[in-house]
Amino acid sequence: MKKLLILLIPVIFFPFLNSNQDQVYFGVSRYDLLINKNYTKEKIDNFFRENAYRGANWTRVYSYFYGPFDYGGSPFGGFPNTYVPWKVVSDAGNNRKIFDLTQFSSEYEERLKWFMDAAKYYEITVDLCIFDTVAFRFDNTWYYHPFNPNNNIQGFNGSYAGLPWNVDRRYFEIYIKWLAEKLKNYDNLIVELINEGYPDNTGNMDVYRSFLVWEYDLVRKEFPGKLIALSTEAPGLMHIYCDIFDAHFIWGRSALYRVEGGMTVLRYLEGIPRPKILSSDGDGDPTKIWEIITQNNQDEIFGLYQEAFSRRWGVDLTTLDQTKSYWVVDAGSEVYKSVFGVYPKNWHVKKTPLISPNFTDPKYNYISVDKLTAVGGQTLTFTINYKNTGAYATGVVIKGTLSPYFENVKPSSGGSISGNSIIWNIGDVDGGQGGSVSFTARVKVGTPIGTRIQNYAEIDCNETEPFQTNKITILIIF
Amino acid sequence: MRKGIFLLTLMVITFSNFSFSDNHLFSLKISGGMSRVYDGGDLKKWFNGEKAYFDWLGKQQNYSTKSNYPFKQDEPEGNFEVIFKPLNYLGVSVGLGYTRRIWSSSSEVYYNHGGNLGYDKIELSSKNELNVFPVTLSLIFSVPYKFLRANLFAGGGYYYANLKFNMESKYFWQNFPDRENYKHHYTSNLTTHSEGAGFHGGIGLEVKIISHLSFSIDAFFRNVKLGDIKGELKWNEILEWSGYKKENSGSEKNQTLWFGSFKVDGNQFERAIFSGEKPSLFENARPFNFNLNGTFIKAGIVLSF
Repeated sequence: MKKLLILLIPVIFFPFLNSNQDQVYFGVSRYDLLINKNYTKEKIDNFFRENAYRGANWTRVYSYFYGPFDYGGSPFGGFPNTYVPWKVVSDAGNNRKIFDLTQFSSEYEERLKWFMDAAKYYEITVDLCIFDTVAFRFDNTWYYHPFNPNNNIQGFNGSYAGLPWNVDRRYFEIYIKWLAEKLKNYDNLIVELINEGYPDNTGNMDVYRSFLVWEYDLVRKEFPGKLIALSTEAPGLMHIYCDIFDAHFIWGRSALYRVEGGMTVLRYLEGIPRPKILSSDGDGDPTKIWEIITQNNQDEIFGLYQEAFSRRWGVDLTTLDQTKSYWVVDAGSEVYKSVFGVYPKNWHVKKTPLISPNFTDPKYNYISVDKLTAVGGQTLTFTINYKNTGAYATGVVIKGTLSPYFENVKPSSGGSISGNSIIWNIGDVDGGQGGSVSFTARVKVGTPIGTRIQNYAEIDCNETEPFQTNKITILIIF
Repeated sequence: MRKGIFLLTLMVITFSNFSFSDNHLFSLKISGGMSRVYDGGDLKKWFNGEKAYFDWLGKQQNYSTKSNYPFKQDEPEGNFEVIFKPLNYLGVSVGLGYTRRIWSSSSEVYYNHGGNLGYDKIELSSKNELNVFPVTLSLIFSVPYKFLRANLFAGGGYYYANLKFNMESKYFWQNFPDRENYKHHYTSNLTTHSEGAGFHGGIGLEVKIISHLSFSIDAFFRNVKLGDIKGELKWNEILEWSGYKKENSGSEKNQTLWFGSFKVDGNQFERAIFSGEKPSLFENARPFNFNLNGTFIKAGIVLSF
């Protein structure tokens, strides 16, 4: 009875967190954004900046996942190119690694802090999922899992399939405490106990619940003053332990009107006395929400925002390609404005990128020509190479200079001649991406012998000052 | 030689019993001598323009140049004529001549890169060859006096000219960055043809040596303008540096020799170049014209029938 009373205290006294419009969360999430090494800092910086500019203030990520799980056509977390919190002791081959569950990766720590700092800079709250999903314990990903007793030097078996949960929780505890220590200074953090926290049909529900209560107590203790979210569809009774209720698998407006257990999901959620955020992952089919987004199904998305914001609930939609989900965030801001009378706080606030685009590496950004000595009348072929070694760049423009000794200039790759320049409007160039453009020009007949024609190019984008490439000299020898 | 000719003439004058009082209807005249072209029109302007340009270039920073563009005025010329004289003081002649003129030039351009890069060098040379075949028709007015006959010539001619422009450029830079011993060798050969009419006039003196043989000395002036120089350009190019060698060659028909001027840093230089089309770089570009205006002094023998 005493324990029940303690558990009810937060329910009775905890104020609704999103009681004003500033705390209505919405955003898009790429769940492996933190741990996938393919997401460079530049890409993450761009992800935050672009979505925040459109009004987003929320994102949800896993704290770890190491295994081959297909996620929209590529391995979740970029497996095996993944940041993992635990220190790797040895490599067991075939991408399987042996971890020390009491030691942590400095590489991961640096990544985690940078990620949180970046999110904070863009005023984005991070929903960090502490443990990965139960279901993964039953598939082939378990072979690689750090909690597989074969994969850690402690021999710790963290298999959810190997219930009961109360056998040994020490390495869970070490991890939660380590995270809490590293993240204690971030106020833009919400933590989830576990992804999609239900025990499936093979588990012991009572024992599982006891595990969640244990974890809830520990997380509340280790993250004082922080919000705790429990992302779960079932068991519904767990909402009494959480500060915000994250209703998962809400992939569109129609998902709110599904009938579950004799009542609609919407009515079910309305009955939960917690601030809520509706999140999507396709209801078991990860492509479901993605199809809605890529097919531009505005009825589902606008309707979802309307239903959520009119109740002061948040919305978090998953994304596989943020450039294709920009309209979703834009739609959210418009509905937000229609409901609250103002746009979200981040909306159209332009922030300087944390990591700027970079076209200044001469190894990748240079001009070359097929001949360095030429005869009047000969045609030269110039190639301008570019590569962005920084953050996502928008409005990239390449300008090639033209000597007055050139004629019959023919740009390739869509360039156009403007005065003494050739202009290529490249568009956006992601970090790590690049290409080349070229043009041919004929040296005017009669160009004086000994003339040294200098040529260079400029690479510009919206975020940086123009970069001038190397200068090449073509000597006229006849 | 001159002394010998003088003595021979003196002997002929002193001892000759032959006179031009007897007219011969036909004569053949073979003569040769030196012809002088005064300035050649665009030819000399071209050479002067090239020299002026390289002299200017040599004064620019890091550059030094050498250039030699001589314009040779005098070249030998031969002539064969058939003379028909229905009257002792009046006749006409049809002549066929040949003269070959060669103008060679060279220049060198050095560019000092400084430091370890040293300097690079362009060596240019050209050999321009002109072969002219004049076909002339002259009216001859003669004034005989004993064994001497003074002749006045006037007439016109048609001049067939073949021109060859052989040019070569050799470029070399020992310390070319990343391309050791960089060489670029380019040659071009333009073979052209031009023809045109001209007129001439002059005076001559004949001395009869024996009955059917006389010695002649003539001097005349001619005015011949040639232009519309068109032909085929053949070129060859070798680009070479350490571990790399590439050779290209080709030919381009319907090439025209153009003349015009270009500006560099406010300085204007005249130049001639080959191109299939009017060169856009040149100011006042026009087809190249040259002339053979000048004098022709020759000596020969005349066989009369």
